[in-house]
Amino acid sequence: MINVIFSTDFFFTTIRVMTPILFAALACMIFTKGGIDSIGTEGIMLTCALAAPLGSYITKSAILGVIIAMIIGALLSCLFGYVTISLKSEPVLAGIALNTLASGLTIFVIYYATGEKGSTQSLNSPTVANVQIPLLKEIPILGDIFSGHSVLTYLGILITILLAFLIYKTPTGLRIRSVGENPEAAKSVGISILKYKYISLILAGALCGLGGAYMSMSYVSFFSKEMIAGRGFIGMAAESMGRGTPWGVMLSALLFGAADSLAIRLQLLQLPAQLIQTIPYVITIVAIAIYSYSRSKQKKG
Amino acid sequence: MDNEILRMENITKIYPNGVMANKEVNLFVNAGEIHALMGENGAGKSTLMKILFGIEQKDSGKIYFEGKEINTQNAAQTIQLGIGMVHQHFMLVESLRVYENVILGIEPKKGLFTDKESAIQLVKDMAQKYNLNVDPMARVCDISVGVKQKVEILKVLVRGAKLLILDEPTAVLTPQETKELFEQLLLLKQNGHTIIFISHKIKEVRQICDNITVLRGGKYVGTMPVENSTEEEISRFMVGRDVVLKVNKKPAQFGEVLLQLQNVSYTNQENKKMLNNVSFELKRGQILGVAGVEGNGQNELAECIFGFYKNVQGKILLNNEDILQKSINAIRNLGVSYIPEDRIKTGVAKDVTIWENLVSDRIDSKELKQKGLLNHKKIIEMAKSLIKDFAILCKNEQQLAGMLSGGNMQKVVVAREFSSNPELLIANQPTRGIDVGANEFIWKKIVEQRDAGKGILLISADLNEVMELSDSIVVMCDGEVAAYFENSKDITEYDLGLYMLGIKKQTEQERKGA
Amino acid sequence: MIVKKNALNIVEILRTMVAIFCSLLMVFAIILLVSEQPLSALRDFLIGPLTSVRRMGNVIEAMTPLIFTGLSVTMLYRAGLFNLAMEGAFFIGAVAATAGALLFDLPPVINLITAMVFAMVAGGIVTLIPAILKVKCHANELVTSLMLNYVCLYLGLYIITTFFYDPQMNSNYSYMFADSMVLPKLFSKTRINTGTIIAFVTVIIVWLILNKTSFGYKVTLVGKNDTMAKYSGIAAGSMIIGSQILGGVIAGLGGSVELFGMYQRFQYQGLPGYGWDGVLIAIVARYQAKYVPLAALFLAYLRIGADIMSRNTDIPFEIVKIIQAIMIVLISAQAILSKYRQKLVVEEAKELEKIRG
Repeated sequence: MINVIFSTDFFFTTIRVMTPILFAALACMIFTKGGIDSIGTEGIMLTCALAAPLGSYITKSAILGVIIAMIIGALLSCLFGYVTISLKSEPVLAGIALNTLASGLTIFVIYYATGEKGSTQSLNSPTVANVQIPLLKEIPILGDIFSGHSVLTYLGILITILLAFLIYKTPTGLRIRSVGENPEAAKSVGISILKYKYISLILAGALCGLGGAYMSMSYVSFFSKEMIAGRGFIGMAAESMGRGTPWGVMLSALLFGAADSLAIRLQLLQLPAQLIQTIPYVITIVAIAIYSYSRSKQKKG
Repeated sequence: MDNEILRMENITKIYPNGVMANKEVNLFVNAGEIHALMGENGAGKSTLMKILFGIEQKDSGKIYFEGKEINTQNAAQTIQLGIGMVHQHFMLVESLRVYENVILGIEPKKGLFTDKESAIQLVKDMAQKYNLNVDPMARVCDISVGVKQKVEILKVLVRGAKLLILDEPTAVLTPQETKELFEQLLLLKQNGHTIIFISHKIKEVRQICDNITVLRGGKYVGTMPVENSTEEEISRFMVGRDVVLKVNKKPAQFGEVLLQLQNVSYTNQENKKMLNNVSFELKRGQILGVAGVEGNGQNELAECIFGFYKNVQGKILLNNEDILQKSINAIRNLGVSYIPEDRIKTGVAKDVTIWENLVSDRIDSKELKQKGLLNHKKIIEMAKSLIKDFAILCKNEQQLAGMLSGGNMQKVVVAREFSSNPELLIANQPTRGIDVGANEFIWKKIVEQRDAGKGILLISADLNEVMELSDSIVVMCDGEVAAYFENSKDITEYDLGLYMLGIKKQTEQERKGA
Repeated sequence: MIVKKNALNIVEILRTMVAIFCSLLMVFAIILLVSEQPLSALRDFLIGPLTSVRRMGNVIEAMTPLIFTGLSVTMLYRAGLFNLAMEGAFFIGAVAATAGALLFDLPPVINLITAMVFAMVAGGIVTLIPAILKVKCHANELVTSLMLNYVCLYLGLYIITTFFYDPQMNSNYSYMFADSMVLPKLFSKTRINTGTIIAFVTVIIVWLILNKTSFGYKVTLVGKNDTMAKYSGIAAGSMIIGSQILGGVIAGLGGSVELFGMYQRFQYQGLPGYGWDGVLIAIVARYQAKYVPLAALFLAYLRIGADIMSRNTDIPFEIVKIIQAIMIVLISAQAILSKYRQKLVVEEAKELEKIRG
């Protein structure tokens, strides 16, 4: 049984299902660093998941499709920023509104684009290719696991590294963190709070765009309604569990991926897949509880 | 004077609500000196410094820095000119490292990246030069308050400040940390920096300052060199009072002992000892005033008695029953009422109605219920009569408490706390920031309660209030009881100032004998 | 002198009106822009639900679960927590009710009540978890409750497929309930059932709890200013936990009522989303139990209208969600009408000055 579960296929699937969660979690990380509520990630991703195949269908180019998704993501994210910062809406409620809007708007738009309400399958829009990595793919086992993924998966890992540099090694990252954590302090040394909030909003929105695009251009080849299915929320949890560091976030995303992948395989074995599927969520709840508890103890110290 | 670095002339500031915070205030500071800006709470020191720093705009007056007139609109511009401020509440990002906080906004770059090495080197060099011992790599959330202050000073120095403003820097420090700070400030002075040191601790000021400017009630009292003045003189300058209000009261009739504090000590979360062996007694029919400069443990004293903290040592006896480990609810049920210092956060809930605010402490009482449900008719009746009795100016009891003026909001608090028929009433800054009418009214109510045989613990930073209203006075300084006077008429405001400012302290015998 | 309503109330009501008006206006604009038959679409949308008894019945049927989740959110948010576990509580309520219905063979009404009690207990446990984690560990209830919803989903589906799965069905449906488990219909031609009565009784109970008991008073005070509540001697932690349990109990009950009122067997394959709808309803009702049925009726009417429109014309049903989203944002936007609010506040203050005069 162990062989069936922990096959190369299992690890390959893990990376595959981890990718959208990684993008979501990275987006949540940037939101949180900039002091912005991240509950709208789910809705932004969903909208972008539609924008990507539509964009690629219209432009006949997968790359342009992805870029359009990123732009739509950034715009929606800025809209959320405007509503919460300028109109002073309660962020959690605005986030819920954004998610509701996305779930309605996407169906509305595909209906007019394709005449169907369920998916964009009929468009046959260009998709993002999977790539074999030369040299790596020759290595036994490792090649099977790590080669042959979507371009976006590799991009995701690359972006994680880039974000680690951005956040911890550049002035922009430092300022985003200061604006998010203590706006008064940032302001007192002449940093524009709005500017860095919007930088975080745009970055995080674009990341949602990549996550959405992956879902509809790589994970499957079309958009179907409600296809994000909570991955945005899981991203919030992964961010929380990864304590907001790029590597922690990536590991948490990997954990969710592994549990999902395990559930898929257990289904093949006629084991209670649904129980297995609860595991990452239960782990998250416990981890957040323990982390919060230890932090509150420290404060009281 | 030719070596004058800062000249603030006839600064006047009137806030939109009509409060005149500064009236034709002058401040002249020489280059290379440590200049003390002194005054009681509300004397206008903070406003003056905010104006200098560009956070607030003056209504009239002129500011010259290094001979040129300046008129900055925000902090960033002021920093550019070479003026830096260490705020009383630190402006640090807790999760960032020390060096990151210091270079925030002026990061040295190497290509796209922050030049971490040179940033750390910069902080190290600065730290060494001014003997500000900090670890650039430590996270701000892990360092002590004293070290945080050093980081703040470094932040200001790295930005090239020639003139440093320190807003009550010693208020949060332990004595050792204060000593260290002073050495560093003297070193800064040797290096040619000018410092404005805001404080009301005369001893400290005399230790390190060259000149003193005193403000009182928003007005400029005068400037004098430290060497030509005595502690007593400075105290006299600071602690004058304008008697605005007088109170009519009969001679006090003390009853039996109601509240006893025995060696009460409390250390706060930042590990600062806020109360140290505090002991005193309060009798029925007595208004015991607690005088002191703010931040000397008075607020903690009130909150200890009322059950806010857990780790309090010593004994607090109410009618000979120890109430130290009891919950706030239990303490309230034993007949203790509390008018808290912060009415907006603690005293009222701004987003609920006046009547809801008036019953928050007694919502479980049987009188307000009928068959287990709330009896709204009765509650509204009670609210209406309280609004009438306490002359709360409002449209009706359904209005949100947050819509009331400060004085009326305070009357809501007073109405609730007085009407619960307490045995002991703790009034913490009961009349701060409210209009004269409300002030007079609240005083009258306090005296009424005393005459009805209640015990009243009156904590106030307003000397006039303490001296007018109290029958007896306890003076707090640095978390300790500095003096006790059974009869408040036995002491002049001038002498009180000496105890408040830590110049004099009674021995235990003197306190008991008095 | 004319006694006006308090200024802030006016602003809140106005903002709600403005939000409803703007979102409808937006939707009309969309319909006019994209539809080939805009007028008939608008007619269906606006008065479609009134055109037959069956459709009016549909509105009431759609309103019933919304009342429960609206009340649940009202209760949960009164204590100042963003506990989103009502979604999971509603779902688990339906699962627990299924278990209660299929496990026992009790006399008719007693079995129904047992199943509903199961649902309430299960719902209460669900919302209690984020509450305890909040009070004891200071864990952010938003994230824990969102994650908990997925635990509820998978756990619920596991329970149904493992213990109550009807092998004759293709999907993961449970066995059929006995006829005695179905809530009796009230009117012919409609599916309106006693569940709606239960919903209204729940409204009254929640209204009583929030407005007539000291518990409700304390929960509200904790939600508005917990520092002040603690200083007043109120045990804030217990109030939070109590209110959260109650919120879950209401959602769980809603799950069972919807199940026994509208279905013959458990057939949810995912979270039904009524919890999220409850957020909008609670906001429109301004967290007041007595306005919840009105807000639920409003949303139900929009839904049925949109449903009729989508059947007859080229406008998809999902346009309702766009209205929902715009309304949530506009009602909660403090900046809207803030100048008007300021004006009213100043006027009120001046009036008082005159009285004092």
